[in-house]
Amino acid sequence: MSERSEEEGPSATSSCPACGKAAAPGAGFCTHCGEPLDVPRPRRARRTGGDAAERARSRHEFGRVKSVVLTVRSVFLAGVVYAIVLVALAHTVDAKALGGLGAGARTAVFVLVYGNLLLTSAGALLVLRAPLVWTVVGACYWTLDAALNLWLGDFALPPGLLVKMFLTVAFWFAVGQAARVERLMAADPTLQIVRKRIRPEQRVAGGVADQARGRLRADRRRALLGRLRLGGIVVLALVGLGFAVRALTAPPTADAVLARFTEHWQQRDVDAIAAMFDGGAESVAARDWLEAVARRGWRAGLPATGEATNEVRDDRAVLQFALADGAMRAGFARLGQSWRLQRLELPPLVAPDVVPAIEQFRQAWAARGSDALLAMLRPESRDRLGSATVRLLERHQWGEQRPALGDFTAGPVRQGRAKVFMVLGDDEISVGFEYWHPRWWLASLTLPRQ
Amino acid sequence: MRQLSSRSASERRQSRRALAALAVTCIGTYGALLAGSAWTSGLQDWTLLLPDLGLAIVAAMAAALAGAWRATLPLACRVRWLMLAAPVALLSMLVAVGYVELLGGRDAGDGGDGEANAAAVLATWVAVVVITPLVEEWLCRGVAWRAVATLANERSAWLATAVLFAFLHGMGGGFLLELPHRFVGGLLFGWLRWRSRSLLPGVAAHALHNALAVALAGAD
Repeated sequence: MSERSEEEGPSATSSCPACGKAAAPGAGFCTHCGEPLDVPRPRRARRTGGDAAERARSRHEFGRVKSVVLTVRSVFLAGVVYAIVLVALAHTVDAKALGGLGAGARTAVFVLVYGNLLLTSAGALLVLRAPLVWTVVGACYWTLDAALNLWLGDFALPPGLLVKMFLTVAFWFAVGQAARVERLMAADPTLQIVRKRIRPEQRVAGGVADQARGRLRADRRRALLGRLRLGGIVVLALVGLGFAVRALTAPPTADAVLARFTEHWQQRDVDAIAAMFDGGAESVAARDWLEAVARRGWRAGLPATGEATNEVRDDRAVLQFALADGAMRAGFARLGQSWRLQRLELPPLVAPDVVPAIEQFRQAWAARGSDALLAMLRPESRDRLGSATVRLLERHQWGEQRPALGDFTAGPVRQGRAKVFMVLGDDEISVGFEYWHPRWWLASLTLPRQ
Repeated sequence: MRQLSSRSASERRQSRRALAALAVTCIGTYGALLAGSAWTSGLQDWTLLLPDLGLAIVAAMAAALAGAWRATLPLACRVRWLMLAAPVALLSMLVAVGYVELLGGRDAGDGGDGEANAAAVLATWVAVVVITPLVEEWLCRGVAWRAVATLANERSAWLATAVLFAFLHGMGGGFLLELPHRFVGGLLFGWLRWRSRSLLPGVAAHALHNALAVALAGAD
């Protein structure tokens, strides 16, 4: 059979083998008796059909795999945004820190941030034209980034690094898809991710291309509206969620703790106030507070407060009360989700004249034995200080009787403490007094060396 | 029209293996370099060969994954390509030096103890000038080249392996700083591989490039 007849089927008139009558050219059966004719099927038609199916399949696969490349471009675009943020930070927030670096290091940092921007921008622009190469670039980039972060972070796995590792794996999968896209594009030049522009001289107004463009625009508009609607809903939901999270996790305001402190003060609850200190009632500040209260004789009742003022700034708050003999200031700080009392400044301790206590000491010194002296020590510290005092006196052989004291010089009274020097022969002794409501107590005694 | 979508099972398998080989080449290399840098005690002794050993293991694994050992080591080539290795190495070196100078010049070097002993010098030359070019070229222009060529075509292999080569040098601590001149180097060595269809000219150019670098560092 000729080349033409192979491609297009029989062109010459043939006859029916059953009835012998002439059959129409290309007919599959006899129009007279209905007997099937042995006509070779046209090869081109079969091949063309096969090609069409193959082309359709490849187009279908192309439509599937090209979305991977578009996703890779989206990741590059996100990288561009991140790189822009880094560049902006390098020029604003980090500018001062960078200024402290040497010229070489500063250049390196700027090359890094701008290189990052350049690389991700080039990836976003060119990945549609050369998918494989730019997907390999992305895969290598994220692999290197993840590996370096892993290395520098002592192989810890914070969430950010997990995201980078996920991106690394995803990019390596995308490399395979990008290679497939390139092969499909190479095999069928009509398959392109980037839509090619029609040259002006080839353009037909209102033609197929214009109609397609119109349909595309309408589709895009619809898609854009849909995305805007979805985006709006998502934004609203996120804003609502943000407010809810903020409301639920917002740190307590200072007002509550200031009110609680005021309430404890008015109820004269000294221990409750001690428990408000950072570190609890066992903290040093709480013990100091309890001592200050005891020395002032406020255990039985805290003094009445005058007008209160407070000042709250960020995570610090100060509450001030006017008391009868001065002002009281309570400083609070927010530590995590709670406000804690940091310091409590009371008005200066006002003590009565120390001279009667000095006279009492002189009498006790002149008395026989050391009982009268020990009786001047506070009962709480008598055991500890008493034995030390007795040992001290016995070392000087003054346990039973002591030499007479001469004149005394009293130092200034500060915070209910006074130091008095008394002449003893050619030397002098030093006596410390401490006021604990309602009286002065002996707090320390320093004798001459010998 | 070529059969596109109805790929045979063997072709799919081949593509998957090529992709796995490519990923192992990159990820495995970073792992090998991390491990190597942890064990290497600096440019002073034979531990300098440890990263190269790690890279060789990675290359061997990737080649085994690709399933075509022989195809990853095309060695036959004409002499004229070997002769072309010298100008290519010089060009690559010029680009590298120019780029480094642009960034603010080379460091004066740590100098070490001031008097490098013969064993250290020998270790440096053997590792940097002989072993490293062999291993890196096999890894990039052998294993990775074969993988990308299987996945796409030779042009893509040329570009992608140059990218891979550039990023593999980012583990030195420079991250993207190493990228530009290493990429150009990768393009040049890859061009030799592409045109000559052999690894040897690229290895020769790479070795010459490294020799010049070591000589320059020694001169400093």
